[in-house]
Amino acid sequence: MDLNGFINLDKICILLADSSPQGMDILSQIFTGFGARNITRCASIALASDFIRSNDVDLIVVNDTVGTESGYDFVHWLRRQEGNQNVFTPAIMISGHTKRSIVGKARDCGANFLIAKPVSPQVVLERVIWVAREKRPFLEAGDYIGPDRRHHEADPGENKGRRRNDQLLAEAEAAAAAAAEAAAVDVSGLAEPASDPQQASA
Amino acid sequence: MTIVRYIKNPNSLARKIAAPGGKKVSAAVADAETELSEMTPAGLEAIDACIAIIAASVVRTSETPPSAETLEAVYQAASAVHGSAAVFGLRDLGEAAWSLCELIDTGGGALRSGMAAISSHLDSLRLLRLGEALTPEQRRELLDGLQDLRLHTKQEAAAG
Repeated sequence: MDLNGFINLDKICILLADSSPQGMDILSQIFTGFGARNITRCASIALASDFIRSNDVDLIVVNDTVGTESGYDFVHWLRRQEGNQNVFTPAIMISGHTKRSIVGKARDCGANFLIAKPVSPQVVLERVIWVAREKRPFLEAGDYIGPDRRHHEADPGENKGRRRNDQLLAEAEAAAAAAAEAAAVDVSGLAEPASDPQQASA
Repeated sequence: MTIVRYIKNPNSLARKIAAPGGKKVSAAVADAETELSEMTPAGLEAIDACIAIIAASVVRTSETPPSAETLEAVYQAASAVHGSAAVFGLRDLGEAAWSLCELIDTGGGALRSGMAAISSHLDSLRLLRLGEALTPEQRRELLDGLQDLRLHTKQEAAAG
């Protein structure tokens, strides 16, 4: 990340979805510090869905769980809202401990990126900039709708040139290298949570 | 055969983020860190509340096998601690909370036979909440102990 570069979040409409008041405050304060002024906080998936239906959103940041509902399911739903102005809006998932039962959902929901907690301003901003600059097309393949999981540009996850069928090998590698990369796991390379993301980011 | 359809997607974020104005990236990160530091007292209070939830669950179920609901409540509280502890300078506490989440996710039947492993995690959470009061070596030792406990519980669960 070029620390001398400039970013302008003045006019960006950001939707944050998290049911935890503290998690929401952390995200909200981070984006406020970045200079964002138009931040909508939704404490439930129902509120987030309503907002999506009637507003132009530039960036969605959603926690993996929102109350009893799943943030992954929300993004999965969003990508299927043909005709909605936000169907392609970049979506960043924020994930805490990922239960084994939902690893597949995390990979296949159609989010642009997954950031493992604990979040830090630097990591969040790196991912926002990366998501803004990436030129991955969306694709529809089988049940998957979302950004092409084969990356064409250097990215923080460094998982280039791989499609879904190549992911088994990628995941095995990722598990072995989790200590080095799990601080912000690329959705396309999401592996079984083999080690503590915090240890990895240390 | 899977049919793949490529869709060219507009990205308004790209256009707006590069518009004239805004702030330097280094300043944006620094400002965000300042915003977070102002949240620290409230953040630590919330962490303490989560540890209290875990403690209440351990006390309540000390003589009976914990229910799935109890385990989920402990998981959610630990998850909240994991998500915020490092933000407020308590990285090791966050690691211990992650360990508790992992224990519950992988412990299965071995956990339902008792809360001992969770209780040990609770003790570590309380100690690590003290932060710098423990030396780095002491904190590392606690975390290593939790890892051993977690692996042991996982093996027990796998053995049925």
